[in-house]
Amino acid sequence: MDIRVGLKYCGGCNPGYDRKEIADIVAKQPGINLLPYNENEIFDTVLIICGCSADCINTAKYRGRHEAVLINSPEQVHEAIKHIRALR
Amino acid sequence: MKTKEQYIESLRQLHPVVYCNGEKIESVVDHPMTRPHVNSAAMTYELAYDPEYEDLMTTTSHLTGKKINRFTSIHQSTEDLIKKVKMLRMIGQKTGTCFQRCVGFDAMNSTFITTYKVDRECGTDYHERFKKYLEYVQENDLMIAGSMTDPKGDRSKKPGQQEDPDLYVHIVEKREDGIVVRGAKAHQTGMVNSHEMLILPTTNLGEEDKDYAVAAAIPVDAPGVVHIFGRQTNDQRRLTGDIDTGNSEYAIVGGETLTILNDVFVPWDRVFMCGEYKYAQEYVETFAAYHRQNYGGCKVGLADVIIGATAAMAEFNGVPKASHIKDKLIDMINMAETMYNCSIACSCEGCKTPAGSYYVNTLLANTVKLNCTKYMYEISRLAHDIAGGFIATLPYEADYKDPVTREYIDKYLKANPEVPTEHRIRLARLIENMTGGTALAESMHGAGSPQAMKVMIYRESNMEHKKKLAKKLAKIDK
Repeated sequence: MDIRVGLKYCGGCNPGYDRKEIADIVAKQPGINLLPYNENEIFDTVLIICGCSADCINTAKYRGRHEAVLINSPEQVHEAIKHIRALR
Repeated sequence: MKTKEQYIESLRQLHPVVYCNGEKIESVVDHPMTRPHVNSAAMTYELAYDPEYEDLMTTTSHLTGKKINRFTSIHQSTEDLIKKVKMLRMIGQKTGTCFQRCVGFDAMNSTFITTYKVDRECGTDYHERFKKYLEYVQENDLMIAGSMTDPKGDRSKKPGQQEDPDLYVHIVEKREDGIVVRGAKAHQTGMVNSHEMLILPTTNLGEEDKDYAVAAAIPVDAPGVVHIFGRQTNDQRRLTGDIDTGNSEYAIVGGETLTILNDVFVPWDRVFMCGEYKYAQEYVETFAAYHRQNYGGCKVGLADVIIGATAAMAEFNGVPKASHIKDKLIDMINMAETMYNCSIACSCEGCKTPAGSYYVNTLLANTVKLNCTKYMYEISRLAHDIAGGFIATLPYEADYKDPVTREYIDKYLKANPEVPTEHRIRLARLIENMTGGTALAESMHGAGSPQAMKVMIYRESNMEHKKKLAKKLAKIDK
């Protein structure tokens, strides 16, 4: 069964990279069902994609059955995918 | 919250009296002179529904607990103040011009603070009235034009001393059901595509100016309201094509108006100050500080676009690697980020007000805007320097579209062989649009002229403390 992951972005004031491209990489991974975050749904985890290391989004607000996974630079995407897969 | 489409449709339901270039505009949504400004403000609605930006664009109402557009909110923390700056920067990056909605945002936040104070000291009930009005604004996701600046007449005289008493908005009648106001408000950003205006005093007032101490909410199409749309640099280019305007979708600055209030009736539930002249100065200063905070957000977003356009133009011109160009681009970035730093700092150093909302650090907020009056000019100067003189001598769009002349223009205005001439022209027009004329004057005078900031900066700085520091180190006893 796919892991249901809620996708949440920071506000995107001055992102250092294209956040959507990173989301697309995650979305293409087999076994991961990446969906727009919705507070009325329960996800296995929430993927928070921040445009810079300030991580200004209130991460505590977003969690699924497991703690949220945070990315603030493109280099972290593979580690994040690994982490999400390990939740299965 | 309204969607972009609902916002635009809601404007069709209003019927403001708008004059522009000798013509009466029947629909601000459909008229080519006003439509780009509608598009720009519509961005504040569109992004609120975009998952990539909703964290900045939306928040929770402290009145109802509902999700609302941030532009209708009252700041509940320093985090809210910071997010305001980030939101403004982000939207500015997308429109390349003013999106107008911050003025009403600031007017509402300053009214929230001032009405609370007036009620506590005068026994009035403005604050409760305003909270009800605010709830109405939030529920309907209204765009409010923050309406402060009066025409001011003879600058050496106070409102009550003017030869013409209408040069500042004033109360001409108090009735059982409300008040009647007369006068005008100048430089009104976003007015014709707002739903309502929130008027507030523009200067400090004495007892003889009591009738000028007025704050109230007025629909933009209320009987007696007349708007005269302002002329901007090169604005008629938008009537003849899309290349020469530079930014055809969103235009230049905020579509300002001279708005006349010809004996406009306002019911009491929409009156938030009526004669309490002692509080006018603090009201103005609170509004001004909130508004000056913004310029390290929105203008930095615009600067991001100018810097990007300039860097791309260097590539289009074939000289992206020239060291002096890189050096100038770095200077541009440094100035933009300095303005941003000031805005973030004045937000971080904000404080809780007795009304419960959060307010920026006044000193630091004024440094934001004073820097902006210089840096936006310098950023623009460097953009001109790098882009080259052709941004001022380019042929007409019509000649570019004429097959006879297009061939010549394509051939002789080509630079980097890999870049189509049209791309070079489009980018040049964008730079021209964003770095000259009306756009620059707005950076100078929007949210107040530089001298107003200097007065505040001096007043908010403890000069005696600084002198003591120096004297101690210099071993001067007194």
